[in-house]
Amino acid sequence: MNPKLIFGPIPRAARREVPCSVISKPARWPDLMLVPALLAAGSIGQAQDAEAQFRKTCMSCHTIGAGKKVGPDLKDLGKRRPHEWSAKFIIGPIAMIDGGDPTATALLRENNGVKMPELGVTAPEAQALLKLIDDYSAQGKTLGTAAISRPATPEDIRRGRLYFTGDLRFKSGAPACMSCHRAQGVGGWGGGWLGPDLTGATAKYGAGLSGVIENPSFPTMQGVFIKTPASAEEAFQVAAYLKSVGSQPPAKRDVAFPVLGVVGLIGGMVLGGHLGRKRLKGVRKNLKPRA
Amino acid sequence: MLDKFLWVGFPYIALALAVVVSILRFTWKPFSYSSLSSQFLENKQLFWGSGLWHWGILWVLTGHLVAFLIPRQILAWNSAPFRLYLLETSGLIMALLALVGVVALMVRRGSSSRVKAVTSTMDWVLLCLLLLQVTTGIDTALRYRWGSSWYASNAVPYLWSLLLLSPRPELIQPLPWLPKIHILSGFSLILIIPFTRLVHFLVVPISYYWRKPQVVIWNRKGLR
Repeated sequence: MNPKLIFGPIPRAARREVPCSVISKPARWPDLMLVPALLAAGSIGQAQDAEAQFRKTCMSCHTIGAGKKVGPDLKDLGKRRPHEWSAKFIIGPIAMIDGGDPTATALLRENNGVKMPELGVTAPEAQALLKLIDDYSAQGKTLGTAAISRPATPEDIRRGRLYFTGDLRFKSGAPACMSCHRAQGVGGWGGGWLGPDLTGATAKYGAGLSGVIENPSFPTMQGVFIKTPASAEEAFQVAAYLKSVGSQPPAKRDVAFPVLGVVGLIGGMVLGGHLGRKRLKGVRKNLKPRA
Repeated sequence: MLDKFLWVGFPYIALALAVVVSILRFTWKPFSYSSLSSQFLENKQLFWGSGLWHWGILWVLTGHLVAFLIPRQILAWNSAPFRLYLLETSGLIMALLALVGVVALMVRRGSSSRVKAVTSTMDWVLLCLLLLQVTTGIDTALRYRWGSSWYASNAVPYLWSLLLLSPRPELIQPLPWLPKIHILSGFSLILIIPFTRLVHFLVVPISYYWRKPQVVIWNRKGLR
């Protein structure tokens, strides 16, 4: 079975709002002098928005000029394919693949059958992304890191488990995976339950798992990992660990935590009752003779 | 629109009202800054209610505050699973003690006729909100563990973003509804601080810890 990347729709990033007070009244000479500066500022803002969009929606699987990941390196994309086709593909990849578009079908074959997911990108956003790719290609700049292609070793799997549990910390200071996720082999009381069980993540994301860990496009994770991402090596090792447990059943919820909570509650009440027995007499007994 | 109101507008309204009305109340009615203690009216149930509630909630609140101030250190502490389990378990125990305490306070206020006579509607609003806050907190801790870590990584940056006037509601929006209700009831509690006896925590008489002890004589034999 070909692994397929399945993402949920990604909410639109907050848009930069351009103040229109300058154009709402007749332009005067000093206003006109501002126009080039505003245009320059606007284009810098747009470039930043497009880069943020690329990091959010594209970087799990693609790089610009850094090499192949799950999907192809997008350097010089504009020279390989017309922008109209690329924009259409970015906006609705599944429709084009399922519709039998020859280029989309060839790409699917070239990339081991991994379908590009629907990312909820609008037409203006697609145009901005294509412009970003053109600009980076022309300037020789790179964005993203290429996938690690070597096979995972037992040491990678061991270190991946340690990153998952937090015993090894991510260099960026990002929280351990088990803060929110669980997986077989974590040990103790297991991992967290805010996010899904990742035991079967390899079956779901296939070769793309490493990229998903490195650049997660999930809203809950983005707020955190956009500033403290895992490195390519760390993501590769966590993915290697998850792959190693992929064939096992999902992790079970451990009951020790709530049970210990109730035991502690009873202990606390007993202790409180014992300490509070003489609460009104103890102090007065000592003070009254002195009063 | 609703999200913007809940995670940006409402917190600011709650904080602004809490600050402004607290100052006004302190200025105009300084003697109303009190817990309006009813210990003279009923003491036995109060011991369990007030004692467990305050011990439990102070620990839990301190935990929230420490994580708010030093989230990176909390994440570092939690990076060893044993330490994470220790923090979570102690938090859960103290939250359960607080839950028993607030339920005892509600039972007392509803069952003792003497206490009932000095109970206002706002007292009940406050107790119900406290119950909601503790219940949703415990449920979140159990259902969406491990909250001490993702509170430090997701909720704390959101709270700081509010304080720094650059709100990032996107950090909260994707969370499940249970922790969202916990956050909203937290802001509701902040909102009603100046309108209830909860205002007493702003004037905690901590000088009691170092002042000279006093003997309060309630009844002197043979005086009547």
